[in-house]
Amino acid sequence: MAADKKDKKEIEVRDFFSVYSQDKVREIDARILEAQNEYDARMRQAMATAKDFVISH
Amino acid sequence: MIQNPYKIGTSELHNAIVKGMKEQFGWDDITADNKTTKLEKKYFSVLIPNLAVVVEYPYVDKVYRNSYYRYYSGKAKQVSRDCIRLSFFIDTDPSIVGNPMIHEIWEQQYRGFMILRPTELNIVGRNAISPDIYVENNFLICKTEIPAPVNGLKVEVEAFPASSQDSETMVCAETAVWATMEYFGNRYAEYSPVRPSHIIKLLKNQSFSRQLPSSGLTSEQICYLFKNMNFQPILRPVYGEESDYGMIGSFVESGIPVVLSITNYVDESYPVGDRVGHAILCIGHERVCEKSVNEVGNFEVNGINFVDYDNIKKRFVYIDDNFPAYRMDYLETPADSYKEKKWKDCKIRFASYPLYEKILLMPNSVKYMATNFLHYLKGVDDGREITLRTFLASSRSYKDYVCRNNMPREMKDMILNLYLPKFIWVVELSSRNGLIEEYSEGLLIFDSTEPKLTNLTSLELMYYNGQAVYKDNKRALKYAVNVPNVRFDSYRKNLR
Repeated sequence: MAADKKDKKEIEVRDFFSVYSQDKVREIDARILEAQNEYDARMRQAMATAKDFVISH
Repeated sequence: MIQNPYKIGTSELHNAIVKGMKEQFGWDDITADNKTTKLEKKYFSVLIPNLAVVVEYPYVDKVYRNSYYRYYSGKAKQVSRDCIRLSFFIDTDPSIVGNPMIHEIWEQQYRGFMILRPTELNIVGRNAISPDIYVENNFLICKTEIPAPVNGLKVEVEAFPASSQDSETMVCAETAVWATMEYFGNRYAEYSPVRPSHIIKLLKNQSFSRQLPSSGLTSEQICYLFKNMNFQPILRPVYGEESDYGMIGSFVESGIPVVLSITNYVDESYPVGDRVGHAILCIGHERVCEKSVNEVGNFEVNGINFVDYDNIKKRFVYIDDNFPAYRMDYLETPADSYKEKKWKDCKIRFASYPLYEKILLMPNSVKYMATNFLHYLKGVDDGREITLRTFLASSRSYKDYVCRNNMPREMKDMILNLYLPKFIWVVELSSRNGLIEEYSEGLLIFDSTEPKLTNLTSLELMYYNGQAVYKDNKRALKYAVNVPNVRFDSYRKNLR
């Protein structure tokens, strides 16, 4: 227990943007948007048929 | 008069139901006997033995009575307006009648009810039966408490409501909408159960021809109904890709039933006479086993390998009006339990999601963000594999879970101090072993009311590998290190 207490470090808190640059944020955002845009394009194309599809069984 | 329970599978129960059909529905001996035999074969055979059943009639069923006055009463052929109710109990000895403790015993042993209505094609009406008494019940589903009286005694069962279609006032699509609303209406104050005439009324301005007998609904009409029942629903096509099934999996994992429109044809080549268009309600999935967790493949996002819980091969649980409740099949072959090829060929084409109005962020976006945001943390790209389990939770339920959880005090404080909306998306991070043993090693929390994906706008907290990114009480984004790195129990409140 004594050893555990000794090893336990205090939590250090900093402003996120003092650690990570806006460039890093933009780089990660671009990857997310690329995946999302691909998904959205596929959805838009597929939605066209929803009107005609009757379910009755 | 108090009705005696009969042991299931006995001639006494068979004869009691036949007698009820003859007296209540006016059916002849042969019809009543055939219908009872079919009922036993299809609906009783999936239940465990040693059950006791109370047969009561005449019974006024709110759903059938509504169909009766809206439709059946106008027919030349006389149709009964009353039903028969079967109530199921475990371990109840017929000799219990007369026992002064009967009420207490029945409250504990009650496992649900099934309404029999005089609709000859499909006689099973509204039913709510606990999964406990099904032979195959190794699954997790959305459940709610449904009240019902037996012999005048008010009791409750925890189940998902179901019904077979009567094929005239309600076919599969209306039945799926009805079951969804019966579930939400019994569980949450924001919603109300609906009757068949309510569904017809809501669609009146959407229909260009007569509405009864029903000839089915389109997927868009199903969404339109949900929109008029206090939801902000979404309709999404399903093209058989992992991300399509993943979206269904994430919402089901969130405790939201999803209406699936399935069909066996995508073009004109399928024989016209064999074409099927059907609606089923997906309400849960079987428990994942070690083998399926170890078999699922991973995917890489910029050097980190991920395993998505939604990609694990597992059968999902359906409410299908052609089957007893809790039918199970894989999402890729949602009608494999049917005998005929034309049904087995069915695939999911659309999914209708009845969502609470403020759920604006979608699970696929949550996963894109989670897999990319983890790159902000140091030491994560060391070749390890990270598993993701994605689900919605109400912030109240989640904070309650956090209070009772075995996670470290520092983590609890961090989460409990977050200013959260009514619903949050949670991504639990772990390993394959963590999925099997139901523990997590990190998590991400997203604001479900924020659809913006950039600049970490919707991120409320990310905790993994001894680091945390979170919003403080002034909504400023913080980065913390030396956060305790421990395992904690996963959130398992959505499905039971």
